[in-house]
Amino acid sequence: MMLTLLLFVAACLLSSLGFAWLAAVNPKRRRVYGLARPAAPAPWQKLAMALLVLAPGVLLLLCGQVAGFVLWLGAITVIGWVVALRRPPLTA
Amino acid sequence: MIKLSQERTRRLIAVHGWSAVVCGLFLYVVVLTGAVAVLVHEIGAWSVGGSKVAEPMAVPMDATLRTLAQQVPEAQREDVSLFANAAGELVVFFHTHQLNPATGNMEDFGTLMDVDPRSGEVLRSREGYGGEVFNAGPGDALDRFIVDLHVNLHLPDPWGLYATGILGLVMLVAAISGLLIHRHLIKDAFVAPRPSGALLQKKDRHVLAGTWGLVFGFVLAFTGSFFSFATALGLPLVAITAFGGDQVAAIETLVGAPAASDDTPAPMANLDAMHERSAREAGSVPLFTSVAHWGRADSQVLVFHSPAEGQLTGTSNLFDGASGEFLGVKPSLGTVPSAGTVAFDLMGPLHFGNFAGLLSKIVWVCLGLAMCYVTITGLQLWLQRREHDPLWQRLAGSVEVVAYGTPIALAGAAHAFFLSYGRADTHLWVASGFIGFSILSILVGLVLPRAALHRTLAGCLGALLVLLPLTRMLLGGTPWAAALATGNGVVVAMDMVMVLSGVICARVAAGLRWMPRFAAPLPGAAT
Repeated sequence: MMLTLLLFVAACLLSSLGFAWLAAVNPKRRRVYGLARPAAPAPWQKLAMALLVLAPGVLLLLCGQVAGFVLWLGAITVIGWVVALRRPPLTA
Repeated sequence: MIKLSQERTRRLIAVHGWSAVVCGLFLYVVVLTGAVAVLVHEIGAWSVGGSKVAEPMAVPMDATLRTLAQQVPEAQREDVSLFANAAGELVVFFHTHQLNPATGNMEDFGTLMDVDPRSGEVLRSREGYGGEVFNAGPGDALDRFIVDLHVNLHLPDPWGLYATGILGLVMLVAAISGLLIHRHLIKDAFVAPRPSGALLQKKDRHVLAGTWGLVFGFVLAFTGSFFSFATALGLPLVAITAFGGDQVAAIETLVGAPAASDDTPAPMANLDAMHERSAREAGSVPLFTSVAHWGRADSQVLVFHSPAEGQLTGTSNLFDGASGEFLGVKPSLGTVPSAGTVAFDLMGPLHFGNFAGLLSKIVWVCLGLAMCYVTITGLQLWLQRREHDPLWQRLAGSVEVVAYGTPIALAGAAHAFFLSYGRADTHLWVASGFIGFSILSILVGLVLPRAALHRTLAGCLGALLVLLPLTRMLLGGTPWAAALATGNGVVVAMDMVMVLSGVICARVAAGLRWMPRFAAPLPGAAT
């Protein structure tokens, strides 16, 4: 179970980074909280965000970790919710 | 983005809201107890002070079983079921099948023994029908009560299963209608609750939690309804429609026809050797063993396993009971592997979240609690929109009472368990504790004004949770040092979870913000 745990934690960390990035540049979120709106992300940035969020799940499947993949699917819905629920710092 | 006409959207909002208002509080009870029931094995081990042996089903048991077989009437040696309970004891059920005059159904009847796996000593023994003797031990009271509350709301069969099945369907309807009425699902996935008024904040919180929990809400509701309806309604319906009402033919197709009968007496092969081989094949220790026709030439042994490392589903290995020969992997449904078998096998792990030990259980608890949050915020949103209607405001009070009252009653039931364990009938005390604390919560809801209700109930819940480890240890429960020394870290972990949850509730009661950036933002904090 240790291998599943390690791969799961690594996959969740990578996807969390992707979510945090997505949340940080989300235009509606920034508008709601009156934050400065940066320029729209470049195509490579959009691709990097998508890869960060989704690639860990694909890698888990490629490693034969079916349990790890389902676990990751469950965990990222909770992580994504927590990331979105956390308000941005108002001083930013 | 899903485009619907205004009229259709209005109708769907009505379906979404009314289905939740009519069944929401019951749904909350079922989902909350489901989230708790994910940890049923850990709660069971915690309540009895830990497991005697780490892996009771891996301990040699062949000699013990042969001795026990001599102690039961010959008729009850027809079949044997073997598994471990939360206290780390072996549960052995020698039984036959006979008509239960009380229910009018054919049921298992026999002698169930709780056995110490190290010494082979019979700790408790009871004779009766399966429903009467299973989970009837004093240590089973708390975990069983929680599971039964989740599975059938303690209503008689099959009505309890119908009720929870319907609640699962209501959850499905809410999830699908929620998906259709929320036009900006992807766009709003990262929008934190807006600082522009209480109603909008409540809506944002509900929509955000619902959006992220949508997929698993659907999965949990679908699999839950499946489990409720599969045996209570599904099998009889399949038998009527596809087998002309012949339930025996339906069962033979679903689980396979029994092997040709041969009642010639034959000594049983060594069960430990079969367990060892089965564990090698499956990559995990046995979970449950079923011996058909003990001591006969046609005896078969079926060994069930939990999933191996990285896998989602477990396996079942079939052995010839007389020779010990490995006959192969037995599909859980039908006689040969099929897409139906795979779909059926996935139902359990996806609903119970028990496929990767404690890790998957923790994730599933979080998913269940997220669903509770969606249910309660949805109800609060509906009521806030009708805050000037006195009739709806009465329901608003009951939402607070049920939201806090259910965990209060569960914590009260746990206190009652520790008070009675080893002293009185734990099953009666647990039920009485739950009902008593439920009534107390309702009385608090009736007496206190709504403004004070939230913090008072949160304080009560916090106090009950923080006191649970103390009650457990003061009344003879295993102390932390002893639990750790015997490899029962789960006892310590559960105590810590109780204290931590209690502290969070106490902070809510005290009006302290424990994570300010998750709390409701003050209107006007941002432009």
